[in-house]
Amino acid sequence: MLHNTLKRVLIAMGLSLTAYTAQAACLDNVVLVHGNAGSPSDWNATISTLKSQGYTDAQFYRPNWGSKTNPAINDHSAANTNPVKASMQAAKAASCTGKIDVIGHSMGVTLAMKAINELAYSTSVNSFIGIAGAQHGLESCGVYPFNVWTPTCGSNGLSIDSPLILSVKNKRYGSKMYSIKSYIDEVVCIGSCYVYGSHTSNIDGQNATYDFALGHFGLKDYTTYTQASLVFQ
Amino acid sequence: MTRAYPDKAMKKFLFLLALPAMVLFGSLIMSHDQDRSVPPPTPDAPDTKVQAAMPAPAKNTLTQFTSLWNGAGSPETEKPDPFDQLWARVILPADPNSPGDDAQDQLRKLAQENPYYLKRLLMLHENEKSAHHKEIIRSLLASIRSREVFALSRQLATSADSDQRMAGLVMLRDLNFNPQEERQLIRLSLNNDQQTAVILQALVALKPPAPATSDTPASISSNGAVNSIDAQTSSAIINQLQSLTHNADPAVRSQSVLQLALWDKKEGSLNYFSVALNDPVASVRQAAIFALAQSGNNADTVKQLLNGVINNASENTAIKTSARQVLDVLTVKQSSISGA
Repeated sequence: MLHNTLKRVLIAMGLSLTAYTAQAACLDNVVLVHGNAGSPSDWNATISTLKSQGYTDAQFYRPNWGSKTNPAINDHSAANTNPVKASMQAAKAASCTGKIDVIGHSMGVTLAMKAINELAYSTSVNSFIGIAGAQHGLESCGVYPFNVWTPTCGSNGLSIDSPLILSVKNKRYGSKMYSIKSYIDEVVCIGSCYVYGSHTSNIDGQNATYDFALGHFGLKDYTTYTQASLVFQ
Repeated sequence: MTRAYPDKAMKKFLFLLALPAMVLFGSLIMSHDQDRSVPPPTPDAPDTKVQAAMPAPAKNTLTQFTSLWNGAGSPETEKPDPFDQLWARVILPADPNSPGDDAQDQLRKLAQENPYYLKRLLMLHENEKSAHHKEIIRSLLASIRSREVFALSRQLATSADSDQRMAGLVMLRDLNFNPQEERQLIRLSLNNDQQTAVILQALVALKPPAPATSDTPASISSNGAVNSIDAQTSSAIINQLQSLTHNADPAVRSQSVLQLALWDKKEGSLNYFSVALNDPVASVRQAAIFALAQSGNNADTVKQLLNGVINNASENTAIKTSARQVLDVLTVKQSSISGA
């Protein structure tokens, strides 16, 4: 009788332990960097999908950067890069794997690249996912230093061959790098999606790229299952 | 007799085994109750206005006992309120050489996890004078889906002050708490507002239904709770957007053409896109090209319209290049469908 009770207690404790372990699954913390004039809540759809696949709220780090009402004044200055760096540092410090995953949207892609360069975090990032980014600059910004009128397109911005763009090209941003892009992106493809023969949302040295017939914001909101699968790579 | 000793030992063993589990279980229950209803102690909060409006901090809580157990000292010497500490760090001038920790993210998580801190954040927004600080608070609040946050965004979106209306619309864009009512509020702005900046913000805030090209698995997208938009609302929004494509401001025309493409997946708006392709302002013509591509219409009419742009001698090179790229994408898409 008592032996049976003991068995039951041990089984119950074993099950509780299994449940606890499952709840606190060891996954990379994820840093989500929003785009120009965006905000941390831009990632609600991504977070919802990741949570449905085992992530918890505490594992997401969402830096908040830049003006929300005047996109033209936002650039890749220290004021905007620092919140991203802080999030990456906090995410890495709290990561049970010792690694992080990074997802950026639009200007958040290049901002995340700059932050990873400055922190020398490329070996600390497992998956780097750039959604609708512009690693090669924006055709609509022109070629640096000609006709560059706004900070967003300036030396610390997205004009083709700007110091910022030259500093983020041809570098590693993680063990695996992926881009999610569109040829009908109404922000990145103004004039042309191509810069020097390559879609600007491609990432140099990427492991794979995923094309969707979606707009600039749709790429972030309606590809969350692809994003999640890449985080789990 | 021979079994008496092992039974006793077994009882002792079981008791010892169960003790830590009982302690853990008890603490879980108590901490859960505490999270739900009792605010944590706030001895050092500097804002007396906020303090006065808050319920009195609970004494003799589990936290205090566990603090004592951990050697943290008596309740009188406990740590300052994390909310005040985090907010102080959020508004601290940024040091370009030292990124530090992400106080904003921590504050957002604190408010997300504990309704008491959410209320503190809402009251801080009410009492804060600096427009920049208010913007930070709103961007933190907008990621917390709650009735109180929705009430604040509604209050702002219907304010007499245009800056507040803009701020409310930014929150509505981000919130996604009550999609139906959020759309109604946005429609009010689209219908009634005279200020271009507010109309533009309302256009950005309008959340279209999920497109067919979404990567959501069919089993999940078919339940469609978030995306359920009744035909009447959808038709009313399409009518509003069509009317805004004639607005005097080119930015409003561009944004409404782009939104229209996401709302009207039939061919009813092709005429509006066609008019926009001949707009005197280049940015509107450019928006119309993307709108045609994003509308999902693969009809010959779309191709004819794009070919019209490409063959238009007076059209600028950038717009022609863009039209050619979009036409290529549509052609590839169609051939892959027919080849499949």
